[in-house]
Amino acid sequence: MKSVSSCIGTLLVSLLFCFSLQAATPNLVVYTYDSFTSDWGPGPKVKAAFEAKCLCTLELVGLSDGVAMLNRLKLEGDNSRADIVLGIDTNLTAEARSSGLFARHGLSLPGSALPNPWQDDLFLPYDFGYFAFVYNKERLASPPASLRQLVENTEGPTLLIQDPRTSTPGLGLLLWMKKVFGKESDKAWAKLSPRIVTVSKGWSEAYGLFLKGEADMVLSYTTSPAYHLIAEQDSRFAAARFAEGHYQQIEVAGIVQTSQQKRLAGEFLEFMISEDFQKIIPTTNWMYPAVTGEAVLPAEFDQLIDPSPALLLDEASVANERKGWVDEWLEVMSR
Amino acid sequence: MLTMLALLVLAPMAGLLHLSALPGYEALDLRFWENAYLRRVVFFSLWQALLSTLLSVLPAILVARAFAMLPDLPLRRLLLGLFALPLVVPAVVVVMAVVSVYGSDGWLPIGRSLYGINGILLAHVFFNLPLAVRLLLPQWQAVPQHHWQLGEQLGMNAWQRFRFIEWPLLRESLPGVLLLIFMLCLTSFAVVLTLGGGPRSTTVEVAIYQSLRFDFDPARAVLLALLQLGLCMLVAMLTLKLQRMPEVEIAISTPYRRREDLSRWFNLGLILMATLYVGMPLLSLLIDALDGPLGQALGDLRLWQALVNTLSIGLSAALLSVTAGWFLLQYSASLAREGRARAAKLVDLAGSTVYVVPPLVIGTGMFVLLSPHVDVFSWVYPIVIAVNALMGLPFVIRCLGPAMRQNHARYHRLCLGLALHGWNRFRYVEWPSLRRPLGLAIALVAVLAMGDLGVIALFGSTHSTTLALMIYQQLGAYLVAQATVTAVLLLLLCLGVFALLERCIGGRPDA
Repeated sequence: MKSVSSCIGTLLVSLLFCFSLQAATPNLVVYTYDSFTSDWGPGPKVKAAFEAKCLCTLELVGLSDGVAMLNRLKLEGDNSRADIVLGIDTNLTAEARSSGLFARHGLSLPGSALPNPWQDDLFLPYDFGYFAFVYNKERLASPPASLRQLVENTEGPTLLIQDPRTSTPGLGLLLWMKKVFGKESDKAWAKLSPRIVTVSKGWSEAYGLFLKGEADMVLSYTTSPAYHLIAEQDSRFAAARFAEGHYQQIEVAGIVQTSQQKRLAGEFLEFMISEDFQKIIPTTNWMYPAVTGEAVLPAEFDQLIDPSPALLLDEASVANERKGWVDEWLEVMSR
Repeated sequence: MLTMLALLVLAPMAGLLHLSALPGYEALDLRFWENAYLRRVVFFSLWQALLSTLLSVLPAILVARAFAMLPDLPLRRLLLGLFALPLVVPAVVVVMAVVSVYGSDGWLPIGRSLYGINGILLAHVFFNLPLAVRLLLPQWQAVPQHHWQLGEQLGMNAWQRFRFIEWPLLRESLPGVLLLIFMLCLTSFAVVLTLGGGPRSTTVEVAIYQSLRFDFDPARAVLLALLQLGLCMLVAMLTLKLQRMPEVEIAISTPYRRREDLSRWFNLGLILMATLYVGMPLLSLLIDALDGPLGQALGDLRLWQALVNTLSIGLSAALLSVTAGWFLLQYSASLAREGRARAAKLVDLAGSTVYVVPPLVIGTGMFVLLSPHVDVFSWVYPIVIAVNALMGLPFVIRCLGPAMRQNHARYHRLCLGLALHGWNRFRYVEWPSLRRPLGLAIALVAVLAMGDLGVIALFGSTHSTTLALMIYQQLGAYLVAQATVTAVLLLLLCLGVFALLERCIGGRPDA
């Protein structure tokens, strides 16, 4: 009996000790998206690598996506525990900028791998990718060579896409069509519409249906085949290269204005564009790292298509026009 | 009790509405109804929900009757356990399972026409037919023995027996079941969005999600939620008009025990067809899972941690929900006794329709109310449990309501005469006759909460993964095979919990 109580006593004391230790080390809170923090995302490795050098605790909070992070930050206002928001993309930066919730980072991006030079005093990119239609080479022998060809050929491949109202790639395709077809994009959607098998809520559903063989092509990223190559040694999948170029997604992070630990937050952003962080990205987030470095990219990435020229609409016009464009899309697709 | 319920639902909505008065948010706009798109959305929501409900409940009457007529069927308990499963499968997994069976590479391919109203109906009937069977079956067990005997003496045929013996009892619970399933179909989200084939098939629930998650226009979300609630109330009034309060008589109820060769085969055929319909998608999941990286997935410690989280959320929510439902029903029964039938119906109605207020709205609202005062991260579990308990309330009311009313009608005077109240009344009067529906209610809510994803994903945290959330995370990381293993594990867990709870609380069948 005595030994049991002394055991419990020791346990309590050591627990208390642990808590006091934790209180002594600073705690950096990062809001990010769910698939970043999940066991298969970059989260666990990033946490281990940063904690090894910062003498702090990195707390990654997974929310469903960039929109959710911004909304959360807005709702919390001055009470927010967040020091950093990581994982909003360039379609959201205009809104994030005008919210006044972010502080300047004061960093530059040496060795940038982005196709266009990066200049932004609030947000710093950590990775980027290109939207593309992915197909199974055994099922579709000759994929379309351009977005225009995909749209025009009424006998063309069947497609799975995502809803621009609920999904990042879905919005990406909407902007891609706008960039290529401009004012004619509603007509292009009308031509494409009969071949769209279904419009899913998120990427996972569409990609899952594609793997089950429900359509010839699925809207995804140019880097998707790299997953099958590296993780499954499966070379059947490829992304179709489109002559007009591919629409770009750039994922960024920023320091929250109300953070009490801006110096530590700055250290994290510096770490984010260092090789230790960047080399984790390709095989966990399946995107291109924002900074080129020695051996950052696995060899299999050489087999991916060249997505140039990179297409991107400026953030202001996306912010102003998005709602109208989505309504136009809805109108065409509901016919 | 009713006040608390109203507070739990309305306070979060008020919190959200209040936001629209703040700078930086969209102002409240009451003219949203003028939008032609929205009118189409409302029409489509009602239409698909109505079709899905009829296609689920009408066959379910036949199947439930078949089960009732065959009390000695081998594997009967197992089959009925199977019928509780579809409810818990996360929608995204159901979509995959339905595609495995009816997709272009599936066992019964129906091609492109799967995407559209066909796919929605296939998935909704898969979800709701078994549920309706489970909810309707107890009605046959309540048929007094001498009714069967009388029917036999009068030489009634099967149709006459149905019309004069079974239908009067069925009529009491049918409107409630119709309403519950209508609500489930009305608020269906991922199924409609994925199998619907595009924005042609958009429901009000999708529009609410969009305004809250994408446009961040909380006021519009609340207005849409109120619109959905209103639609549901309307349908509820209509269905409850059909309902007739039972004339209760004191009698011994035993299962039907008469052998008729022809109808026996007919009933066996019905059960077989329903089992195939429900079983095939589940079987396809099982096959996919056995094909997947079973050892690797099961060896993952985090899977078991998620399992423990899932279990504790499910059980706590079920306990909370059943306790709340119990008192709500007691209140409504006492109102009915005092002759205030209208008020009693209203209480039932309030409890039944909370389901159509989207958890996303309640959850976000709770967040808005709580976040200035407490650290929301440490409140994730209580909030998730509370919202799930709330969502489970209609199921509790459906399972427990009819039995509770009968119990009150039969025994209330007796209890007064014997001065039985409080614990003793529960122990000696209510428990013996109500434990079976109670068991079903607890089991259903537990299993429902275990399969829930909505609220926990909304709050997000570093350490509160559940199995349902894990499935989504794995699907988001290209890990389709692992996700299938997790889904099957969730299914087995639900099956186990369901059987255990129903058995422990409900007692032995026919005891």
